[in-house]
Amino acid sequence: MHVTARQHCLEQLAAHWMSSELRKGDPVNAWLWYVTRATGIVATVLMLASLAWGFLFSARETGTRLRPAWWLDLHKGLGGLALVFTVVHLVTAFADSDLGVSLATMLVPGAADTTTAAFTWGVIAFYGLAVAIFTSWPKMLFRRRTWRMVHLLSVPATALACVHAYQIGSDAHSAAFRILMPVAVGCAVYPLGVRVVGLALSKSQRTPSNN
Amino acid sequence: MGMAVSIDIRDQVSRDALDEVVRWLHHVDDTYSTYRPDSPISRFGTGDATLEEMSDEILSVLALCEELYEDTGGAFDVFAVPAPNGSHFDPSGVVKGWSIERAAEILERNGASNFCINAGGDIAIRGNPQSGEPWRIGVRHPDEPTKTATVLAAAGRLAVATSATYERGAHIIDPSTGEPTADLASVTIVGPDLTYADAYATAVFAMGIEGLNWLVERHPDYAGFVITRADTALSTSNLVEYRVS
Amino acid sequence: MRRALNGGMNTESQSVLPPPNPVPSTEIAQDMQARLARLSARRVAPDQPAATGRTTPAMNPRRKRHAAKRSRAAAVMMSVATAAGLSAYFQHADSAAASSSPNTLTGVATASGTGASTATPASTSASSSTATTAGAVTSSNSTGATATTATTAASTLADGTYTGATDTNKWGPVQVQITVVGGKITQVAAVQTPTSDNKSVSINARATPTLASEVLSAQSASIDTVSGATYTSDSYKVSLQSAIDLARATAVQAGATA
Repeated sequence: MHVTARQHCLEQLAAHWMSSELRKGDPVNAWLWYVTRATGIVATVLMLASLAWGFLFSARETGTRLRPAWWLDLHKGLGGLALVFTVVHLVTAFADSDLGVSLATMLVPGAADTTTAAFTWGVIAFYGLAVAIFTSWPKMLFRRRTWRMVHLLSVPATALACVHAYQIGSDAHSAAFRILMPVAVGCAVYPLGVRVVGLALSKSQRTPSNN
Repeated sequence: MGMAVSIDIRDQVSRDALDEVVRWLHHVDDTYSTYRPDSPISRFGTGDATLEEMSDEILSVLALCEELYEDTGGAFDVFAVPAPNGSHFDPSGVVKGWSIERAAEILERNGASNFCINAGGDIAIRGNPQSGEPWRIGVRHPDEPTKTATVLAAAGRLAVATSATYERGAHIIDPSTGEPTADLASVTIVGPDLTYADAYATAVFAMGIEGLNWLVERHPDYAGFVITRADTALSTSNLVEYRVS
Repeated sequence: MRRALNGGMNTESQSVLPPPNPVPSTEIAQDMQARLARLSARRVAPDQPAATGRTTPAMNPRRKRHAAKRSRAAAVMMSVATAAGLSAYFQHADSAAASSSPNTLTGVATASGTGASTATPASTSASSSTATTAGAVTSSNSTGATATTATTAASTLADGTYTGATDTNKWGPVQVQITVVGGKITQVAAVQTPTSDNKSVSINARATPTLASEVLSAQSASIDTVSGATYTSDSYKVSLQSAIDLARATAVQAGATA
């Protein structure tokens, strides 16, 4: 009996506190916060999609080399778009004065005052993505072998972006995130797996692979 | 104004002192009532009189209104309220607290040091009701007129003002929308000066719950207690000093 | 009469008052002229030869062919639409949470500290608790010692500090914590769940509200006066204040006759 009463009190208070807390701050900051979250999620999904397209392009086993130019172009487009959304994500996070994210937090790994790990992964993922893109565009830097090693940085970068999204936690507790994020990751991991397996098989068969 | 004023003096004071207070309150009513179309304030509000025709005392009150308008970011706006005289100018939100604070000064000047003046729920206290005892001030429960939502205790100089909508309908207007504010049932402000406590109560009511944050930031020497329509109460942390239940 | 009354107030504050309502008409005219000037200035702008790429088609020869042009455009549109949709959804979810009372936070997790002295969470644990009861609540203070403390009967609350379930706000995971002293909720605070590293002070400070919240209860306490009723002459007659005044007057009379 008294437990119910107490619970009722707590619920009412919590709801009330939450509502008053949410009503604090100005609407511009609130919208910057929503856009920060949205662009972060979209950027992560785009990175996963770009990764998937990249491996689908390079893996013969998927049989997609009928239209290589199309695959490559879409892969590049998705990667570029991911970078654009990441930049918007950073700009809005910085502009939200409630959030108090400094330039150092966004650009220097480990400089964050709070949730340091999560911020660090985000910063590294951003740099990884930028490096993967700008070593290929506007023209491919390095020799092909070196370029490929550099370009593969996009794989850990994407993984770190996912970890960043999970650890920062703003939406990681929502049911949609918990269902859809593994699905998206799975969609990207599948072509990666196909590529790795294909590579291993071709290696074991000692067939010379040209790329 | 048709407002009841209770004066509870715990010292021996002369009849003259009380008479002076009553004369003062009648003077305030004559001068500032928006219910009287012939009062200087009504004539100013309706445009029948200019600023130059106002007495120095009225000018000082109007200056106070402007000060509060700026301080509250427009939440306290004497031009936002439709007055009973048909104009859009009602300084009652300042006049009540200000006049009671002056009435308290009259009593003090006449030797009273322990008293409590309650003008329509806005209270100025001085000293103690009995030696060593604090004044116990109940804040009305919004739904039950004979019960209190909280009780404050204080001695010395203190003001308690409450803005509410449970009588006279929704009479507090949000200047930014022109609509009556609705999410709060009452706002109680506790602080040193009733002039400001009264005006802050009106302003916080117009601002809504955010108003308490404004109060905390701008006027840390004032405490606030807000009752919402959901029958929950919010208070600033410094209210604890006064709170007994 | 007026003089005598004026003695009691601040007549010396004759500050010059800015006219609150009427604005001099010359000022309006000046303001409007300035606005019109700005408007006509803007009207000229589009007629001037624009320095955009439109008039220089010679820029185009280096145009690169995109094999997946339409798919890329679709991806851009989908991404932008998704981001916009998510933002709108977040806004909707927040305002819904603000307007209604969601039951997202429920239950009592732990109770820490007992008795009236919640400000000193020392080792005095169960000893200071006075209430007795049926349902026991697990209590643990900051030293980690656990004890079973008492709760009071029926609807009153046992003294202590209670922490609600976790929710996430802008600054991260947050819990609502209430402090109960003497059966009443005296404080509600937001508690930022500590993150893996201990450097979260600045954000915690931002998120902690300066306000306390409670559930309202109607009381019949002994008081000297009441705040919070804009008495009209009529409503005063039936008010609590009038009852107090009457009681007081009776007491004074009784004291005088005695």
